[in-house]
Amino acid sequence: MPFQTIRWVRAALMAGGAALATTANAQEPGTPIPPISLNYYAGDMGIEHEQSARILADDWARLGLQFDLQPIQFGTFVSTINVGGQLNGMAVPTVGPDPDRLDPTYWLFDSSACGQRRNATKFCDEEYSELAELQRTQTDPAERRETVLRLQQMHYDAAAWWPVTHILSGMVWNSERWDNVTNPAPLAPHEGPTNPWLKAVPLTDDRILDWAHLEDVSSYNPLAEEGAVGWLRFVYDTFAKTDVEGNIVPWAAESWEFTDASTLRVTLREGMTFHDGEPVTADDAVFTLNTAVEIQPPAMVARIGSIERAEMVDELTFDIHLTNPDASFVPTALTFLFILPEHHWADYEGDMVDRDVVADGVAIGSGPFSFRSWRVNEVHELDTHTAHWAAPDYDGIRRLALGQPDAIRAALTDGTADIATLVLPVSAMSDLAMSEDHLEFAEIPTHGSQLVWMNHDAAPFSDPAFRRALRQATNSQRVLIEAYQGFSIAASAGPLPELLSAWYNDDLAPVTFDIDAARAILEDAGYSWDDNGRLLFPAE
Amino acid sequence: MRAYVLRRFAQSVVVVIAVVTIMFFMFRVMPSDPTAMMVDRGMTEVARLELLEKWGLTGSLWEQYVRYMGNVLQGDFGASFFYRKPVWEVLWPLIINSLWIAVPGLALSALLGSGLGLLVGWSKRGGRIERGGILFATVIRGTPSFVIGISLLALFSSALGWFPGFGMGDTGGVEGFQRYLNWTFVHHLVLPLFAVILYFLPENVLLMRSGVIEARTEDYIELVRAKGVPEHRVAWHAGRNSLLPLITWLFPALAETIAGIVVIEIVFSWPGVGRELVLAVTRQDYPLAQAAFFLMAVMVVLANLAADLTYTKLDPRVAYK
Repeated sequence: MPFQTIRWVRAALMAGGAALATTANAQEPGTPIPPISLNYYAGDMGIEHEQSARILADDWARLGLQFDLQPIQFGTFVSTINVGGQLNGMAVPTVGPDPDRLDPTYWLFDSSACGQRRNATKFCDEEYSELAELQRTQTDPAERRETVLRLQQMHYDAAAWWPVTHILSGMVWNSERWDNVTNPAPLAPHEGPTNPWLKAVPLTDDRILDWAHLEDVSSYNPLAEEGAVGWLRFVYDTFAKTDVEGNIVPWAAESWEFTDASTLRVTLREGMTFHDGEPVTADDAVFTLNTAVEIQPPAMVARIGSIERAEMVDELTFDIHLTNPDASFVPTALTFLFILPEHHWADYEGDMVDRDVVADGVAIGSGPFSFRSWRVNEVHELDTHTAHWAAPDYDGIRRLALGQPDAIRAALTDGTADIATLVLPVSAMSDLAMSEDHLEFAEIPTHGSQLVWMNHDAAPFSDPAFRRALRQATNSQRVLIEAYQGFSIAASAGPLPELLSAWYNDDLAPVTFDIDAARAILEDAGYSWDDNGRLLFPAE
Repeated sequence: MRAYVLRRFAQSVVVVIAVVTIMFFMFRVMPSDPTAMMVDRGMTEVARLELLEKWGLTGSLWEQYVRYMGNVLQGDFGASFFYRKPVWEVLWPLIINSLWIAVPGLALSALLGSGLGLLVGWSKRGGRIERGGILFATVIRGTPSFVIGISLLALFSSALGWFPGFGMGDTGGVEGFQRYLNWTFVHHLVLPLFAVILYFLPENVLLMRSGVIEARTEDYIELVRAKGVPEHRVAWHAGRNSLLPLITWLFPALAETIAGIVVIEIVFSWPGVGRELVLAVTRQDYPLAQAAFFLMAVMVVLANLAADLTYTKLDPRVAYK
């Protein structure tokens, strides 16, 4: 039995009776709409997911619908629903504020175009999909923007899926020990160019910044690491970074320009060195890119898919030849790709992705911190790379893998940890800072979003009128207040978070919660209600 | 005796193979895909299939099983999907960390438990000491380990501030074995160790008490007393003969301790094998989780085997055929 088949079998086992309760494929005109399964992340991802699902279902029930609430463990949710194509009824997932999601492609193409693996709702409109594909190739920003605005309007009109809220993240830090810790919004602190991790200034003799995390890092091999790339970017410089306004700004690359639609010329910053003192050259960058293209590391293929090859121009300049014009290459690839020291990798004969760089002593990059030590599931220590052009004014940074939120709270309270980001509920961070004089808190608005998904292949979700009615009955404000205690951002009208202001379509009319309007939409579309108030499929 | 040993050994091997088999199938019928997170971040289907092949997750379930068992028989448990290293490279340091709380925890709980059990068992039947001892043991025995752990943290770490509430030592401390030989490590060790001691104390107390109550009415105790031996020495005679069930219990208890400290490791953020096991399951890191379960199964089986085999040494009246 191939692995794919096994997955289907066990998914079928998991879904069990839910499938029976959910899919309204057995649509009979004039019959009641069967109970709808509503999936959400189980409690291991935080109680707000269940609360959101209950609140939304509570208001949607006012349309005469019944819901079967089904929590699913996060890993299983991603496997079966996000990428497994097994969404039966509806779901209320949350997608995180990954850096590449600052580009419209994730929202408009990956999550919404026909046949895309990450299009969990199976929304499929041929004209829309062609445009979504087109915007990926439009390297002229103005042209691309026009297409992106149009796509948002089409997505909005179809009510393919919609946001409930956007994620408000947070960070809490020890203000008696560290100064100049500034807000990195819209990204996680370690993803941004300088704030707060490089600009922070120690106020005491303790010149090591202790960063509290829940999880460990899996590897210091950047070809392999998938889950904690932000931390590895402390060690390995990327070519570019995303600033607080969402702009792509130079980092290891001093500049870049498209010399033609499929060729990007990149010039490296002068004077950079690796942690072993060797200079960083275009040769290293070309070697890294061509190696990645050749071996196709699984964790990287999404970002290097359009690279054909890299070619050196001079000591600090190189060309990246793309297989086709790729408008999102700069925001998604230049902010992710890194530079390996060729002199430590060129002669390696084993599987580069599996290389244990710590054991081999080659956890060497050109980033502002150099690797010092790693105790599994406990602590990582990095020293400041003083030769780095943006080296911080302190001696090093430590990642404390504390495993659970209570330990993080205790570590912040007793001064073991200096800063924590993302790992606690925002309200908990705010409370902690209010109860401890030495702690400060900052809200970080992000483009991460809680969404409403439904299976477009099944009735009644295949009916745009039904989807629009559900959207009208989506009580985002109540979710914001009751599930997130106000620590969330009001939903944008269209699929793109409003925080992506350069791309956002301001013409989309805000959708306000209105049950009467939602019922009117249903009525106009032929739906009716039985004597018990249950919503019936249209008679025709 | 030799036939018995061989038979028991063969039984143990069968049990371990059964556990490995159950673990293998259990992880593969879970409705989750270890590549899902990468696919969610945009990994292509071609890359996903390559990764599945690399991880031994292609072919029929039977083929995967045969391949896995073949590797296990050669001592190869594969590489962790998450750490991309052989699983034992990841687990060994964590096993040592776990043993730091498991072995002293169990030994001290046995020592304290036998002493308390002797006191309770030798005390006046129905008296305050007996009633108090039984109440204490029952309450602790019925308290989940996470409640014990959180209570200790709340009292001794948060309220009194006597002990650190997480981790195994200073964040920037010394490396290697030297890190275990300093006050900071001991300071961090106290609370989780105390939690393990408390968790296993009741069994020791109750086992010892039962033995002492049974022994105190024996003729030889009367004889010792008739010789004019002081009462505390008489009690010791009863206590010494009541240690047998307790000692035999300790063997499987060591294995149980390794499994049972999972919660304590999580509560105290102790970087041991139990905490890693939980993470491995949530990350769908099959090889690491399977190896950790294998380790626990082997320990339980070996401990039971050792208990059976040493019983004849401890009690010459027992003979195996």
